[in-house]
Amino acid sequence: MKCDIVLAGVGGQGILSIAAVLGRAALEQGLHIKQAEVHGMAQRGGAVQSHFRMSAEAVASDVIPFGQADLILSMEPMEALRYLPWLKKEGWVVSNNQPVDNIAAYPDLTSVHAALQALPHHLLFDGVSVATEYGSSRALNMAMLGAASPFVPLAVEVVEQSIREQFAHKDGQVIQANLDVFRAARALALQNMPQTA
Amino acid sequence: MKELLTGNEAIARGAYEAGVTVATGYPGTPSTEILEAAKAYREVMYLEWSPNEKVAFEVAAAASMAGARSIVTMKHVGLNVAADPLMTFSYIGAVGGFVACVADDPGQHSSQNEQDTRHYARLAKVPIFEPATSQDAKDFMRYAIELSELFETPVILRTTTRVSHSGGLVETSERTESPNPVEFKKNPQRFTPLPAWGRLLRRKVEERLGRLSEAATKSPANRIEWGDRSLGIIAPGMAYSYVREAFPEASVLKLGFSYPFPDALIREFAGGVKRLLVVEELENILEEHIRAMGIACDGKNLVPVCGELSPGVLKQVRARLEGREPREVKAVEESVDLPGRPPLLCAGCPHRGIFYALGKFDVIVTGDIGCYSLGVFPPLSRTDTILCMGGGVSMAHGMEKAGEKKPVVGIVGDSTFFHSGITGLLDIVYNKGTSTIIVVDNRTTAMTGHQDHPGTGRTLMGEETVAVDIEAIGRACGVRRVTTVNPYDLDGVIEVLREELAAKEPSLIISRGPCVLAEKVEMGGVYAVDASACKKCKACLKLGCPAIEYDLKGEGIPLINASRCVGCGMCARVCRFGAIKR
Repeated sequence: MKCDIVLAGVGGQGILSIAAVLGRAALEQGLHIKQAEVHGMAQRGGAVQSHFRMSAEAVASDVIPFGQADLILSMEPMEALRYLPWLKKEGWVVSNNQPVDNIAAYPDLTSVHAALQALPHHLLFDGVSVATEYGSSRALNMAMLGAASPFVPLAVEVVEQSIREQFAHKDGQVIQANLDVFRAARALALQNMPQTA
Repeated sequence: MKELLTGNEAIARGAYEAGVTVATGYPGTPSTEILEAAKAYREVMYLEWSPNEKVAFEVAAAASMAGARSIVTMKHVGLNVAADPLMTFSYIGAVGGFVACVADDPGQHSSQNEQDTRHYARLAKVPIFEPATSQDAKDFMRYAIELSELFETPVILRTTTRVSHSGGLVETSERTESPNPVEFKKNPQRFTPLPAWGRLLRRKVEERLGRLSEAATKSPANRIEWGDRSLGIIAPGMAYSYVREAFPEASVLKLGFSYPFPDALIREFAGGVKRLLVVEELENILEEHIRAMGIACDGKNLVPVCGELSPGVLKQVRARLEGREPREVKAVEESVDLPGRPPLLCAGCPHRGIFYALGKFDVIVTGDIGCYSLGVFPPLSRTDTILCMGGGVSMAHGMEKAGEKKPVVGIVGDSTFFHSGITGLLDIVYNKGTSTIIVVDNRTTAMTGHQDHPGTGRTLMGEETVAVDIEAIGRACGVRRVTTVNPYDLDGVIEVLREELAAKEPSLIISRGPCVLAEKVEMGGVYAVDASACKKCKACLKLGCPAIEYDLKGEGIPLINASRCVGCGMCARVCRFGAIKR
């Protein structure tokens, strides 16, 4: 087993928490892991990315080579497009559909959506609505992780346990809200994508 | 036990396991998280954010002289500030194990230059370790502490952004306390390197280098992985990881203890392969030495000098080596035809008020290192120079003394003012300058993620302490015109600027407004644009606030994004038509 994931988004959208949840779950399942992230100025609304690699064998580089990612998981539709050179031919793109348009040059959203929909394996997901409905808009990252979970070769119970630990320092309500959002998003993704389950 | 740790967390863990009791540093990406992770070990480790890297280095060096095991952390440019104590501490040598953890930033993810810290190891004649993984980072810390005590030398542990910020599995173990007591042993010939004694120490440093080269050859941090012997690759630090990805079959000499050069090991490896390639991130330090040893090799003729290496870049190197046309590799931001997302001053950031007000004057602004360096971007575009930490203050003075016609304003942050802005201010007063210096005091070291500093009233140990008064420092330096402003009161700031720019003596303006990210400041409700009152003059857009979106519906009316607005009210103040309201 080997799975390379590009996590993408804009500073503050919580992709590093996703990486932490995946990392703990992969560790629990005895896999080798490497995770690369770049931060620094990113908290100020910049693009953020993290490479997450897990494998039954040892992983050499923390950075995923071009054309080798199994999954791009993005909190933002334009950011999903930015990392397409990393995606392998049969790889999946799971992206939130709502933009973070804090730049003047943000392209027409319809064309961004169209570009994603033109990909052979894509799931354009309304993460914000799911997060807001089942927990809190701040749980967008867990909604997107739930939507992408059918494409991630980790046992769902182990991922859920890792989510609990991720928010262990917060109160019980926060843990439950994040779990509810994750589960609701996963169920919706499975419904909409029966062929991928 | 196995844990998922970033390189920085692994360094902190390694320091804990190696019995380190004193850890100091100044924040700087990508090194900052070492001391933040070390907070977990506060019961057995004294930690401090020092005002700057030189102070941090001196504190840790003296702890070592007294017998304690100590580390100091900084980013690559921080070592420039700490270079003075490094050079002579090499002569004096460590008593308790001493490791300077220096994080380089190839690719300049968040730095103003791309310098290679390995040059410093050679300049100071001290050993350097270069981890490739989190496990290496933890293990090398222990080796470095042991080596430091055995050879009585400071040691540099050099990471790069990818090592510092990448996570990997680490086998952790128990802490070993130092067997040596903390008790300074008087020895002037060693600890006071006056010229006569310094000359003797100088010879010892040379002799130590030879013995260290032998130690490097035998070190577990260096190893040969024999594979296909038609190609052998020497790869220090992170380059090793990329080499293994792009050349899985090749023989590799992995260097973790890379200087003093392990000559015997290099000869053995070179003798065992048909063709030799040196893959180094940044400079050609190793390659130059190997060529000087009389060994033919490929290196920077195939591997780029500028920027970060990656598996993609190494695949290009492989293509060139095999005489094929390399596939073009683009940087992330250029990978597809999409607009970039430059970092911005946050919605509600107090710095915005200062830059906006400065936009009303025809002045030159010498800027500095911190969030406020973002004041260079449009629409604010109100920073004209950035050189180094503290430079914003002294450079205003230099421009003035050169005879620059326009008034010059220097900008510096609070943490940067304590770091190295005070000496510049002293210079302006002493040498009869008239510059206006603005300290944008947001009560934290914001850009690196909100670390405490001498003005915050809290220490890294989590204790309350004196909050040093910037106004009082200004007056103590001899500045007579010291004014504090509220950066959200734009008219007030403009008025103060007008008065201070006209003054024929130095002025210090302190702009006091806490970082909105750090304090989660409650400002009392978001604003909205009243479309019927809006005259489409775009004045509010000149603030460059990320919460104000323009013309989404094509009607020329700005829209305030309620989820991003923090209610600071600057836009309402610049709107002459009263169209922006709560």
